[in-house]
Amino acid sequence: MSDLIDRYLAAVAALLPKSQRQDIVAELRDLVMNRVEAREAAGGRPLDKRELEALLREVGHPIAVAGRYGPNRALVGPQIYPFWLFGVKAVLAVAAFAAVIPAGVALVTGHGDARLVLGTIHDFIPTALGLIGAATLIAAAIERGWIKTDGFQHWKVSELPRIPDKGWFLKSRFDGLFELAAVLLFIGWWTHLLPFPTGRAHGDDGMAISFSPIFQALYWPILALAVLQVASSLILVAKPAWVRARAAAEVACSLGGLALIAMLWPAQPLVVFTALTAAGERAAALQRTIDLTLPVVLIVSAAISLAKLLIDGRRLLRGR
Amino acid sequence: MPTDTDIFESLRLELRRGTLILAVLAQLREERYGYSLRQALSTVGVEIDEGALYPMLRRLEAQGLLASEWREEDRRKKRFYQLSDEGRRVLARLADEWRAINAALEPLL
Repeated sequence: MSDLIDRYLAAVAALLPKSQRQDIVAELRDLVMNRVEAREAAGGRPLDKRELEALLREVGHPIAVAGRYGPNRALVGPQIYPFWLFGVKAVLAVAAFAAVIPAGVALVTGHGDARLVLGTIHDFIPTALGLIGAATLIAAAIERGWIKTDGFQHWKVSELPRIPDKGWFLKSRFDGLFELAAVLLFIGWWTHLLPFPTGRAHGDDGMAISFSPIFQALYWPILALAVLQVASSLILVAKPAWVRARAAAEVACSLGGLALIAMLWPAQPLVVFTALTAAGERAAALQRTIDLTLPVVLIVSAAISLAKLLIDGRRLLRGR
Repeated sequence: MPTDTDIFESLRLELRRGTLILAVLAQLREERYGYSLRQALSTVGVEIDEGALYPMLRRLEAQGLLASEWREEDRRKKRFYQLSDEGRRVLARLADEWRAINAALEPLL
């Protein structure tokens, strides 16, 4: 009988800190023996092996019993948990958005199929798990005081985002995050730090895509405009109450956008599809579609930029 | 979806958690070891799981509210706990707090 008790206590002991092991196990042994004696006294006979097994099961699984003696602290406690949850939602939403954009571009330009969609989902899962793990590690480090914070005590109501008054082009902090992810992706592609989702310009489908030389000439202005948009998005994400700063940045972006469209318009066609092999008809059809679509895109973009210029200009003057 | 019983049980446990410490401290005005403490609490209608009681005793001792010593009784070594001086002071303050809460809540209930 004592063999079962010894095995049970040894299993608990193996999970306890060395410094407290002997002390805790001695106390647990007393607890178990008291229970055994009480049962035996009630039954008027010694416990058999099955009854002792049941009694030790009542005391608890060794992992649970040893765990009760450990530091009584959750990995992420109730104070930090809401911040952890918010952070996880935000990074997952942005990561999903960043994963969907390249897949979307590839699908729209005819460079992807169902396998691409499945591949995007397949690649996103480890990314998502990695992000959740990283957020949990950071939260656990904050919980234990390894990363010092002010306990989220020093915040100002005046720095909270304003309640949107249903204005045009008003965006939330979350919208700002998506905007930021999209522009950073664009910068990555533009500077060739990231591969463009459609892959090589000379595809396996027997077509070559070439861009107007105007894009080469406007390389730096376009990059500068994208960086300005990053700054504007960062203001929205980090300091949503800075309405004037965000409006000023958006006005600058709209002006830059209008100037860009003015320079791109006379340089059309902006994209040229050339048949390399027997795909001549397909290249011509794509060219027709692009030639019809791009001017409309430029006109709509100009109209949106103009409207944004007026609305953000008003916001800049009013400060709300 | 939690049932009414689940919700009640969870709220009951929450309500009991703080009062158990008060009951344990009060019972340790006189020296007891774990098993006898549990029996004493049970006699006055306060049931506590041993799995929770022993770690609680250690935490209270680490906080300086209890003192303990190993002694032999009934041919077995047992760890006896008793309130320390600091424990007595804290118990007195907690008891006042408890009475004040009780007095404030009673008319509401």
